[in-house]
Amino acid sequence: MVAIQEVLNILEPFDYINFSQASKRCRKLSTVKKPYKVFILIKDSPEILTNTDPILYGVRWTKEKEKDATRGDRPYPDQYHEIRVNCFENPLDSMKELYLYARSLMGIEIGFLAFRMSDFKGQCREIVDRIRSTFRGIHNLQINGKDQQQDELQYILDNMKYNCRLEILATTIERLPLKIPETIKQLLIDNGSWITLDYLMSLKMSTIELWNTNLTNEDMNVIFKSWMEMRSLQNLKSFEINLSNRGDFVEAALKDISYKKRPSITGRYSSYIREGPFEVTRKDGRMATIAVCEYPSEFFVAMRPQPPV
Amino acid sequence: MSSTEQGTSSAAPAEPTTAPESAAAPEVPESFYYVHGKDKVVHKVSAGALQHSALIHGMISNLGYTEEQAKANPFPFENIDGDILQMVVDWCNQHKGKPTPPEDTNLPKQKEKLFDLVLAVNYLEIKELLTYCCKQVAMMVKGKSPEEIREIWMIPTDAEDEAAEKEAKKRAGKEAAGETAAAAGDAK
Repeated sequence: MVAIQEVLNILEPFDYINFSQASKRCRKLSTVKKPYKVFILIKDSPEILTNTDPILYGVRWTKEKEKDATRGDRPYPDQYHEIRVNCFENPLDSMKELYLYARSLMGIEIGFLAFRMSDFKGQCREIVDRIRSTFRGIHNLQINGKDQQQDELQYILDNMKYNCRLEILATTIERLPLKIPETIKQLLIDNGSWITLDYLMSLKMSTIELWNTNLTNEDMNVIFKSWMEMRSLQNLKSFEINLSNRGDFVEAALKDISYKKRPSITGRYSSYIREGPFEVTRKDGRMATIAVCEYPSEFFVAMRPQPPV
Repeated sequence: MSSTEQGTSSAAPAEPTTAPESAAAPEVPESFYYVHGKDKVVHKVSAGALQHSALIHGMISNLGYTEEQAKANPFPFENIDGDILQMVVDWCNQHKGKPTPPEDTNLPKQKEKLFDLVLAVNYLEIKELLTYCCKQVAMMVKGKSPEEIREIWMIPTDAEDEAAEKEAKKRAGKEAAGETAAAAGDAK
């Protein structure tokens, strides 16, 4: 019995699941709960990957019969995805079935769910309706796709249950503002051409990353002043935004703002700082650093308020 | 029969010592113990090699046997096949006083032998060898379906399990009935 448990502890997550399905006795033996975080990719050939660094083990479901029982590995510099491919008539339902079984067996959590809208042209609502009750409590939701319909993207945002981080990498045809739940802690918008100053200042998240916006250095000046006067972005821990004009950043973005230039800074992006860091103080005494950074070849502004004492 | 000399020589330092004999600390003679499996073939193993087995190490640590006493009282492991015990002894000798490598490629390829080795090693509490064996057993089913796993690991099907359970119940019932009848006979 001890030897069996030793072997079971070594098994990869999907081998463990398969072992539990070998017989009723095997299912009874597999009652040791091994908590795993999983990554779920909702696309035409959906995938589940376990967060087992440095090798992520995964299963992909496809309709293509010739790919059944093959492998679809993906090497990365610091990670390796080892994926088994299964052929099923209905890939999404098969994936849901395995996920529910794995959840009952191992107590897994969804660390990350990526939704590739372009694979479900005009059918995103239907897909969301099919998966939302199964995939709940998502830590990090990422939405991909180019030139998608605004209402479909909004439907995903309104109906999926995510609780920490939202990454909107999708673009919409309409380029209109999106309604984003205030309950999440982190927001990343990759194609933020629709983001207005008022929209930004209404956000309540503690971590905000906005890229490809049309906001200017003058807008930055309004944002910084608003934070210093405690009128907006009060929960902010980290704010990053693309810089449209590096040349007049100090003159325009820090205009009429009292700041001190700090000699150096440590932490994320410290080696990418090209201008600053400048230290500004909120009216309650809390300080923040503002810097112009370059990474990898794009300039952006990073604002990091100090944690509250 | 395993060779203890082989085990000792494999653990010896590569460079010969240059210290004069008179200056060297007197060597404590190594003690040896004897074990046998189901086949009754006795294996002579050094205490150093046996340290890998928590079970045997616990048994011998306070014995203080002389060579003759040890020879006269081999440890019997009737639940372990002779060839499996030979593998275990060889492994203990090869890894005597050495840090164990991250992988061991010399494990049996034949699954029945590997399973028997797992059971023996688990019983003898040889942690490192158990880890190697379990890794190899786990690798046998990597990427396999539930049906394939059942076949590879020789897991009974639900129907076979049920039949075996029924049979066991039937046997237990018969035995109980026999005992009742015997008790009634005694009472008369």
